[in-house]
Amino acid sequence: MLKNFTALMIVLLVACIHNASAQGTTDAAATGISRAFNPAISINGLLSGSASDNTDEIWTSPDLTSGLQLQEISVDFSANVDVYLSSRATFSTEGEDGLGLEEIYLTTLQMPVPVTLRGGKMLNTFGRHNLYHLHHMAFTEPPLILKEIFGPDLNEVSLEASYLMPVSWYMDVTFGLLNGDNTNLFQGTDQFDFGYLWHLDNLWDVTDAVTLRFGSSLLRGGRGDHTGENAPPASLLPGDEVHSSVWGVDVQLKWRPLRYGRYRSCTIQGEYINTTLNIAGHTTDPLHGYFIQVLRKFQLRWWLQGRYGWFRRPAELSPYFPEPEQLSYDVSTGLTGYRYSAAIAYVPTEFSAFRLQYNYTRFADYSAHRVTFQVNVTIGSHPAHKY
Amino acid sequence: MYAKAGKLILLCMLLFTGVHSIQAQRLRIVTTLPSLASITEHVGGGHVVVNSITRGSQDAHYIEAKPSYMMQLHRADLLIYSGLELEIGWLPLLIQGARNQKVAVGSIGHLNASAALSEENVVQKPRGEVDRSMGDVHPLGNPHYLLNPYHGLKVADLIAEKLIQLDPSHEQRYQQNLEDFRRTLQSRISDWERRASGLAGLEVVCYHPHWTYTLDWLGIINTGYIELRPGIPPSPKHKMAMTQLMQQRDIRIVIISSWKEPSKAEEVAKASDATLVILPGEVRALGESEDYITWIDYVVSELVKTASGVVTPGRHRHRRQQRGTL
Repeated sequence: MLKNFTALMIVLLVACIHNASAQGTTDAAATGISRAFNPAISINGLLSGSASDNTDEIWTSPDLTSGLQLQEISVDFSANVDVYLSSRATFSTEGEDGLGLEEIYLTTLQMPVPVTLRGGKMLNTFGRHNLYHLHHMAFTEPPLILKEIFGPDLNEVSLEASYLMPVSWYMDVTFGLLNGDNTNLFQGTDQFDFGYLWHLDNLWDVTDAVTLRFGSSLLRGGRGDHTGENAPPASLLPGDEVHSSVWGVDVQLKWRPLRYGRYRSCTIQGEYINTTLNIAGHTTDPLHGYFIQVLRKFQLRWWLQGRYGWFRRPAELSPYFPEPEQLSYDVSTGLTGYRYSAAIAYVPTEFSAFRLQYNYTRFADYSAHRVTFQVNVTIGSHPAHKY
Repeated sequence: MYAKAGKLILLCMLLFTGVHSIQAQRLRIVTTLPSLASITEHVGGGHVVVNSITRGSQDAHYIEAKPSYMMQLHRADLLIYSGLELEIGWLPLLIQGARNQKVAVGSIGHLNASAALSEENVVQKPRGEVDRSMGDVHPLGNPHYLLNPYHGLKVADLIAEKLIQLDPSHEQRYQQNLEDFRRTLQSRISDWERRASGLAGLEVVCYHPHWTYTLDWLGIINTGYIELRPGIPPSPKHKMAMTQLMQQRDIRIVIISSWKEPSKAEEVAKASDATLVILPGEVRALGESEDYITWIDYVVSELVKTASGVVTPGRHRHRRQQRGTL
């Protein structure tokens, strides 16, 4: 109850501020209907064509299908609300289905202390990759481990506070209170089933051209005595509680020369994520995995990219984590999977990109090859992406 | 023994406190460009500590919003930036990430240096609708205005005004520094204009519209750009067209900024039998361009030197007469 009330209040707060000028106060006349104050609006489209050798009827993952696909269309609005707040809202389609809310949140612009508050429904600060929208990703799909644990992202009604630590390098610590809606991790029914998030982000300038980033994340939340879609094992007695614990580390090493930084760069980025459930006092084996990717810009418009991702899911967690790759397998044995990806990208401007990607995916005894050509275009004023 | 050590520690503590106190009294200023940092150092003198986010060798259009830049802004009393949307792709992220009210938009420590210019001072402001098929156009006009030293004088005035507003106790010193800077720069402007007087009417080709303010100031005519559109590399067809144009008009100089990869400009220059001049796009981008004044001096000297080596004296004067601009 309390959880639902908090979520409702956060969403209403964001919605009210977005509609503040419609409240009919005489103050609204100060800016009238000037177009100068309209939000920055952008539309991003991801279209792709794929060919895969997967013909197994028991493995029907969207990441293995062949044919032309409208991967995603997203519409983004961003503007400063007033002196104190900025806002951003993103609506996106999933495939060709209707437009749905992806993110809507407020961020403080001015606080008396070096803290930024962010509240609303938003991609949460767990690691680095979880903060990327699909069009911002270097590959056509998110890493396997994120899909396995978050299915495919951690995007919650939540409130986050981040504080810039008073040290000589960049150290940012974030605390978050999450509503606990994630299907895989939470979906608790108890009024105190919030998720609690901690993220520590560090960045050092190794040289003028090289930065090293290291972050750690921790997320814990209750699943209550839920008997949701993914029912707990029969051994769970009424009143027993289930808690999810997730932790991860993220590393990024980036080289971008000062003089010709627009022409060449290299980024090596990786994350490890580990999750366990505590079921009535018993801690399960972890569902865990990692990915590592290398992005090499070798000419003004050309990139070469590679990624490897791996995960291992123990049998006892299978009932709690729906299979995102839609493979029917013997759940009593657990599952190990990995994927190699290689891509070449042609990026004429920051508003369009063309990517040719090859994936080799193996889950248990099943494997598949897939080649994808993706077109990524943005029109309008899109906010700059973070470092 | 212990007494000596105690005195030494006390002395160190006093020294440290003293140094810290002096530093604390100085205004901490962050600029987006080295040229702005240099002008601020001239005006602020010993009462300011100035850091530039970008280095001279970097292209300020394409900076990534590194969190370490946020740390610089986090500790700043004043942010000075070029404006005209030069930094639009990264500065808003830095300001938000810095979590420093002193430099937030609208605060007293937030200074847009382009406010020193009048509407007429800003060139290449697009008329009518703009869209991305025109390349990386700046809807508010060309932001490289500091390449005209008269604009450097105006920006110095604005910075002095801001420093006095933030630190009125040193008003006299800032006024004196400003006067010294103005006197030096004005004297150099006369010198540069005298040395470059023979360049008026000279036709050149630039890779990118970076040097418009310098060329306009010295009366040099920019006949075309090697880039297809601003920020867009040339197609083979466009390179050929530029080569033909240069041959037809006997243009012997191609100018490119130091942070642009020069191979395409080299191709056009070679095919047209022209000389490629690589000019420092910012203070400390190349060689002897250590501050604002030596930067402009380097640019003027390179242009004069190159022109004297490749252009027949009097030829461009004749061309200018033909255009009716002399």
